Order: sequence, then C-alpha cells, then structure tokens
Amino acid sequence: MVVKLVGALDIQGADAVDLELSRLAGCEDRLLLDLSGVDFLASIGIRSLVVAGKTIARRGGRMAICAAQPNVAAVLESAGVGEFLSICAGGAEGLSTLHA
Amino acid sequence: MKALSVTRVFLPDTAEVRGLRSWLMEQMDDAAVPQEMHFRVQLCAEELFTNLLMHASWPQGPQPVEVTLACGQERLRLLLLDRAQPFHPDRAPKQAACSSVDAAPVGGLGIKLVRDFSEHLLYASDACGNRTEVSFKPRDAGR
Repeated sequence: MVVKLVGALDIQGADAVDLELSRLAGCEDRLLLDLSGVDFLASIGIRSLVVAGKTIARRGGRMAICAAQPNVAAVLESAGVGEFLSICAGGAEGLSTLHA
Repeated sequence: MKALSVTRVFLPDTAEVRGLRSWLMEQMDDAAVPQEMHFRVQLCAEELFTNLLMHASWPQGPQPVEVTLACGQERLRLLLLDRAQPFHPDRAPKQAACSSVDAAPVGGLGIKLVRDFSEHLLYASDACGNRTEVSFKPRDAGR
C-alpha cells in the first residue's frame, strides 16, 4: 500500500496522522510512505514514522519512505533514519525495495 | 541580512507552535534572511518549543515563553526565555546508533537536530528563568 502524507509533520501533524499510521502499520505487510507532500518534518514526526516502522517490522512486514523534499530528507539523514528504515528517492524505487 | 530584533510571547500550548513558525517566517522575510536558513530556524524553534511543551516542569504553572529573533549582517540568533524548571539540553539522553528498526529509539532526537541544523546552542539558567540561544550562519547549498 502506498500512502501519501501531506503538510507538516510537526507536533500537530504527527498527532493528526498517528492513529491512522498505527492502524495501517497493524494490518499492512508492505507500506510505502510518500513524503513528497510533506514540507516540514520535526523529531516528533520522525517518532511517528519510527513507531509505524517498528509495528510493521514486528509483524514481519516492511515499510519504506520515498520522495522526501530536500529539507525533509536532510532531517531524516541527520536523525539517522536511513540506518533502520529504507529511504528511497522515488515511488518506483520504494515499491521495488518493499517487494525485493 | 538586514539588522532586525523582534520579540514575541507565545503560550506553551500545542496550538501556538505553527503560529511561532509563521511569525518567524514573516520576520525572516522582512530581514531578507537567506532562504536556506528559513527551514533550519523553523526546525530549531519547533524542537525547542516542543521540548518545553512535552517535557518541561512548571513550578508555578505554565508561563508564556518569550521568543526573540535577532538578525545581524552575518548571523542570526534565536532566543527562548522560559520559566520552567531548569533543564540543560546536554542532560537530554543521547541517541545510540542502531541498525534495526526494532531497536530504534522513538524519541530523544530534538536536541541532536538543533545542534545539526544550527551553529551553536547555548543554555543558561538563573533566578529569572532559562535562556536557550541558538545561532545560525548562512551555509553553502548542499551542506
């Protein structure tokens, strides 16, 4: 499943998506988060992504992130998210990663 | 950058966070702050303010937070003054490296991001409250 997030993943944005992300992470085996519409990412938004990734991984599934805007990609890099979640440049690469 | 020093008070409330970022954007536009600095300043402001919302202890109940943006020719300073219980950012737990999502920490990143996206982070505390200052200089594109 591909989910496109839009807006700011700040304290309000994370609060708005946490429940749905948790639900998807609890039932999807392959989840690709398209961040092309996310123009701001703070640590609390990273927390949401990591929690979803953990939930899927514990069920034996996979989650990947793709198409992050440059500033958002810089935050992901600084946070070291690429060490434990797949970060892909585009959607096609993300889907390939999930199904590899 | 044009010389500018502006101060505004924000309530320690989740609903204020986006207002803080919008206000900072307006001030940075007015001061002709380079675009590449806008995101970094917003991110650091968000992290520091959110830290107060989520972790601060307020002995006398939540108090307004004074935020100052000061631009000079080559440097920009973001200053937060609060009256929460003193908490030095260096006391925040450091993130350990990990290679699996299952072992990945779900918090504790905020101060790391502030350090990575700014030049200096200074903290001082006295009887008047806590003073957290972050400074920024223009960076080359791609850094």
